[in-house]
Amino acid sequence: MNAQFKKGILELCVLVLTAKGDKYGYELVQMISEKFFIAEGTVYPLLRRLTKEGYFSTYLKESTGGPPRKYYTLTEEGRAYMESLVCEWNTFYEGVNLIVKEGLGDHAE
Amino acid sequence: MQNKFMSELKEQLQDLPKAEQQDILYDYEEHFRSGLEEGKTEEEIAVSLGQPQAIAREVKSEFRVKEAKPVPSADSVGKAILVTVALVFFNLIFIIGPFFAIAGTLLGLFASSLALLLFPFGLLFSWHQLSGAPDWLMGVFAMLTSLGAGVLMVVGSIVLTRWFYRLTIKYLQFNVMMIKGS
Repeated sequence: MNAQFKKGILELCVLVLTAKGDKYGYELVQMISEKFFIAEGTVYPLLRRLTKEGYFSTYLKESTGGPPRKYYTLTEEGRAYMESLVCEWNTFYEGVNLIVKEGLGDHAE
Repeated sequence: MQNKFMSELKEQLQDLPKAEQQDILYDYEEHFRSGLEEGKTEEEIAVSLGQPQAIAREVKSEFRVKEAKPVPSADSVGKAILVTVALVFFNLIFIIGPFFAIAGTLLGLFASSLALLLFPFGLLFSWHQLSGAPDWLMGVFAMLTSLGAGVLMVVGSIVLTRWFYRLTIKYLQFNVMMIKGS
C-alpha cells in the first residue's frame, strides 16, 4: 500500500480510537495491528506529530506495578479534525466501493 | 534484542535535540515493557516495530515538518505590518467609498419601501375627500399597489442586505487572513 495513503489512514485510526476514551501508545498500536498489518514503530512518530499539532494532549499515569504510561487525550481541536477526516474517509470509501462494484459487477449490458 | 533495537534507534536519532531523543526513546521503552507484560518476547516486539532506520526516518520527517511551520520571526512580523498598512490604505481608497455608497443605497431602499407601506394609510386618513370623488376606485387600487410594492421592496431589501452583510464579513475575514499571512 502507498506509504502516504497508509499514513493518512493511520492518522484517522488513532484519532478515532481515542474518541471514546484516553489510550496509551501500546494499546493504540495493538488495536490497529489486530486489524491490518503496520510497522508498529511508525505509530509513535505519528502520535508525536498529532500531539505537537495540538490534536492530542498527553499525561502520565501509573500502571499496575510498573512505571507510568503515557496516555493520549483527544483535544477539542483533535475531535473537530477527526470529524473532518471521518467525513472525508466516508466519501472516499463509498466512491471507491462504487467504482469497484461498477467495474466488476456482472449486471447484464 | 531490546537493547540492540534501542541503541540502533538512538544512533539514528543522533542529530535531534537531546530532549527530543529521550522523549522518543521513552515511547519505545514503554512499548517494549507493555509487550513483555503481555508475554511477548523481545524478538517478537522488535520485529513488529519494524526497522529502527525506518522509524528514525519517520521521526525526522515529522520533526522537519514541524520546524518548517511558521514561527513568528522579525521578518514575518515586518511583513505583517507592511501588509496591514497596505490593506489600510487600499481599504481607505477603494473600499470605504463603495461600502458607504452601497450601505446608503440599502438605507434608501428601506426608506422608500417604508414610504410605500405608509402611503396607503395616509390615503386612508384623507378618505373622506376621496370617497366622494368619481374615481374613488383608483384610490383603492393605488393603496393596494403601493402596499404590495412596499412588501416586495422590504423583502428585496432584506435579501440584498443579507448579501451585503455576508460579503462584508468575507472581506473582513480575507483581511485578517492576509495579515496573518496564511
